[in-house]
Amino acid sequence: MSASETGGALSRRRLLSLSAAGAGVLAASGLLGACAPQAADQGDSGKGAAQGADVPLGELTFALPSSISSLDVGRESGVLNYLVATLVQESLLSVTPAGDLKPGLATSWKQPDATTYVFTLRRGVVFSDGTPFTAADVVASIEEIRDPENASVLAYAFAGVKSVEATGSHEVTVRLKAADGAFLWSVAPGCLPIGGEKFLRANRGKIGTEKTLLLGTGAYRITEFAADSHVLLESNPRWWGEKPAAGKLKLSFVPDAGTRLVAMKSGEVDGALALASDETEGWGSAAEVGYTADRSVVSLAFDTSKAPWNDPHVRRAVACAADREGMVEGILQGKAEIANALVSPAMWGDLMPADEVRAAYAEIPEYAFDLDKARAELKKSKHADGFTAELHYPASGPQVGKAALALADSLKKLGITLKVKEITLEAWVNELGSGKQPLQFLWYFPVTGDPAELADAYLNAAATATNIAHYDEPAVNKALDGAKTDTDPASRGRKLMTAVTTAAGDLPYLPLWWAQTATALSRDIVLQEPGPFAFVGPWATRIRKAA
Amino acid sequence: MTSPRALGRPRGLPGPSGLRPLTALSVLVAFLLLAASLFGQTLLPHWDAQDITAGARMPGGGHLLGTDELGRDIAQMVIAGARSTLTGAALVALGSMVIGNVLGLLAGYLGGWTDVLVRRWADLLLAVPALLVTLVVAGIGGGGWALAVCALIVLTSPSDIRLVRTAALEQRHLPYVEAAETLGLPGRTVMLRHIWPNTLPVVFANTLLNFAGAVVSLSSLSFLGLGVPPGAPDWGRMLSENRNLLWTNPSAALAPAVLIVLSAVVLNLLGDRVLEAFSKRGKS
Repeated sequence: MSASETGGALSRRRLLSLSAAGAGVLAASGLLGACAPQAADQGDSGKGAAQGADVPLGELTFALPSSISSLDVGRESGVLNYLVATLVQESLLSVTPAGDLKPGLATSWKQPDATTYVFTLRRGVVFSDGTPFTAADVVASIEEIRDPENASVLAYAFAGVKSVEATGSHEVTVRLKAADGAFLWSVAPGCLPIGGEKFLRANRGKIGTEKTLLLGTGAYRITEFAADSHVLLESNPRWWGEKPAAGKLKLSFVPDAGTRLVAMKSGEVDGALALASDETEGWGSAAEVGYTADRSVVSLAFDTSKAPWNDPHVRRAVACAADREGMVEGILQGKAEIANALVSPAMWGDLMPADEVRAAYAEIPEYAFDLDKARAELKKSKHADGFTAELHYPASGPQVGKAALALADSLKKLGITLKVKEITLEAWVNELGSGKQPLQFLWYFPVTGDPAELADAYLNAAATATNIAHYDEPAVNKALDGAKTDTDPASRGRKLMTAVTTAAGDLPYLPLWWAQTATALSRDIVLQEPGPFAFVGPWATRIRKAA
Repeated sequence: MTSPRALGRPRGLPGPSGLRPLTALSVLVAFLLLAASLFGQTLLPHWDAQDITAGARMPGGGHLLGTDELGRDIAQMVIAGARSTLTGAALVALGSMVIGNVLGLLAGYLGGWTDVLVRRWADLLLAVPALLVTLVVAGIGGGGWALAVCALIVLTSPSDIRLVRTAALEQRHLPYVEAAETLGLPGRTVMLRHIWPNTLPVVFANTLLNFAGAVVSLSSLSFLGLGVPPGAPDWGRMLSENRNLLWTNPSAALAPAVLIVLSAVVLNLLGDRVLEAFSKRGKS
């Protein structure tokens, strides 16, 4: 789905990128990934269920780095609510920790033609309140999201849907306005939390609050939610999957990094999720800290429609002056990967093998840190004597601010004065796409595992609401437009790769790093199958007692 | 033989030889802080030199207090940072003193509606939590050192206003003031040339105390990102930005923290000492 289809409003993805940054966390690491629970009837075999699953863990407490104001992901209050919601609500499809789409509440699906999807639903599934799960619940969930009156921030994911209907008690047919190669991601966690039809209708606008908790078919059910404090969950005895080892969960909101560490050291919590990579120094003595690529990217965005950024020599000069290796090593302590494209390699999933992705990325022109080269590029530009620019960063992203200061230090040597300013997250969100700041940070946390999510939104000239660089390259537009309707994964992957690599050479954006997020767990427990999508789904069902 | 202490020192005033060890130490520290504030950035022009690849390191290798994540020398940064912290605090103290003296003198000397209005204004300002209001003002205004200093000046002034008003009220009815008025001197002259000089000792002592408070307040605002801009040397900002280095290079956070505390303590001690000295003088 292109950003253009969102009608110019802030897209869900964009909002996510913002709040993510805000929480400083989103990174929660693939906050939204879900490993598919093992099927009770057809579908998955359940062989992925881990050893040790029969060892009960009782109640586990995890610290989250910021509070949640609404549990309803459709109400958008950051991305951390996905960590809760995906434990409770399921989708038609699920996502493995590696990023592959698998059966979820739909055991299978077929595509009779390019614009029609027919999903066969899992039988024997009931909601945590005992209500049977049927096709009507899926239709109601999608319609609630699509209803403009409901103002769901997930609406963008279904903007290309023409109709949704129950074509059987356990069959749903979705018809699209046009072919969409990425549509299956719209019915995966992150875009489609499924609730009960009656519950949705009766509680419209109230779901996700302290009084009206979420209802789902998932592994857990919420027993208490105190905004700004905690969420209590217990395993759902009616869940169709394997009973999780942790019978109860407490997710405590602990915004202060020092307090989180003290809580971990004192044993008050059993783990901390979504830690910033530069926060984990000192955690080693208290917990096992794991790092995973979270698919997010931190990049500079140049407004190519305005001077001086419309001059490619200026953009190249800045690229050569950005010590990305130093940023990753010095600021992020090596817990990130130097980026040379907007789309993280972890985003390509089944569209292209990892080695092909790496090979294609290796062909992107290299802009290594070289101040002499930067000076030479600047001399070729119309701004050879330098200029002054401003760069704002959100207060919740101190590491981004430090990268800005490092860049400012390098640019000063070229005669470019870069004024770095820290602003609130809200102000930063408002600035993005407003056109007020020709140089901006783009800090993006993808919701899906499809490269078009970033590529189409930020590189396609038609995506006026999100293409903050105002990049307009016909070859890139053509490739992206072609990828939209191409339902052959390999062909689609090639088109998207053409767009991504071509744009990377033009530098409308200067990707700085692909980030990692950290998860700290007590040495008594382990999270099985950590991966870029490890938290996009019922992550707590993969918590096991350590060997 | 006459004791040296009995020579050349006005009665009741503290002389150098009369300094207590703690006071002498405070004077020395204050002098060093003043020197750092005035000359730090001039003497250390490369205080902001980065070595980003090296990143945060423990003390050693030519870095007395180690480096931060951008590879900047912490020792040089804390010296350079004295300027924004102490200059800002000094401006707050002086600005507050000026406002306090003007309004306090007018209220104390003129009385009547002027006194009522000034008192109510001071009461109003005293009723609001200064740091909280400054936070709100700085937040709405987008932050910034100048805005924070201005807000603190206004919110610190009530203590000066009340102090000077009380002192002026005391003097107002003394015979020398009545004598001056009987001689036909204009009110402005009476206030400025006769009453005001007699309030100065207590004003000076209070200014030092305000100075100490402003060091902490400004550092707090910088800590919260509402003071100096990113990259500028400032103790509060350093403390905030380097908190996560406690395990990598503790001195990156501890050095500015120690200096904030040290400055506040030294200025408080000096303020108390000055007040004490002038109180003794008054009694004698």
